[in-house]
Amino acid sequence: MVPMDRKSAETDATDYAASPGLGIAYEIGKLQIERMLARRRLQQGAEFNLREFQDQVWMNGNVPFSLLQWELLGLDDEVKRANELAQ
Amino acid sequence: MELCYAAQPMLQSFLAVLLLLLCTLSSAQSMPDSLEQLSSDFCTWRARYRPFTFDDVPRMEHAGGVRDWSEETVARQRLDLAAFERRWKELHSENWPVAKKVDCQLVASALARVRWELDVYPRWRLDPMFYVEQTVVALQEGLMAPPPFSAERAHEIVVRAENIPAILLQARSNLKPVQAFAGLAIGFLLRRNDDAGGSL
Repeated sequence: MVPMDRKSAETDATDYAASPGLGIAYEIGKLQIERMLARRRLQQGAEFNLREFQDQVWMNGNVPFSLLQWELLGLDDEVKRANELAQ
Repeated sequence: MELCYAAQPMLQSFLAVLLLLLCTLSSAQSMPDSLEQLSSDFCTWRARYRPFTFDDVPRMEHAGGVRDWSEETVARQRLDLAAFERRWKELHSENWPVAKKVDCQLVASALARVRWELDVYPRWRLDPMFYVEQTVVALQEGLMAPPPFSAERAHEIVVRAENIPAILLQARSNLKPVQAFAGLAIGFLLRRNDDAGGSL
């Protein structure tokens, strides 16, 4: 249960309904970046450096994580899947 | 006759220049499109047509000038977008390095965003708040930008202010709003009016 008055809840619900995908993008983005972090960690083992990873993500700016993952990790499975779904 | 003889070398030079020009034009037309050229053309176009939004991070600089959300201009945007999409499909990216392939996909993502805005979820048809953004937010962005306050910037602010009545008329013609969305836009404007001490 999220403590919220009725008016705020209605405004929030309408606001997110007016921008479909916006709310869920926060959660999907979080899952994608966690997945990319885990894969980078497994790829680099003891060489992994969290600061370096953060810098690379920030330096590349506002781009889809699936593309960032392809460029940084060389893994294009998510891009391929997205392209398949877009067909 | 003498004149004719004198004109002959000039005519030959003129024909040579013309031939060179035609060759240049012809080779320019047959040159394959590049990702760089497509990106550059699209960015210029997008800066002209990208809607203003409440987004808290400015994604790109808007080009100056009058905005138009009439049906005719939206139809024109669709044609332009279709041309960009065609150009993207004709790029041959198979043998490019990964970094360039990623850039190519980024352009596809940017084009898909425009398709989303125009057709998949056309806020310009459904959401009155969209027109609050094209008017109030456009003006606010002009006013809130950091110094210097140049003559060009002042001119752009005047253009945006004078553009408001036309955009609101287009809104009236375009919108088939969902009632809850209309309520949201009205609530927003009322709150802004309260913030300004009821002076708006």
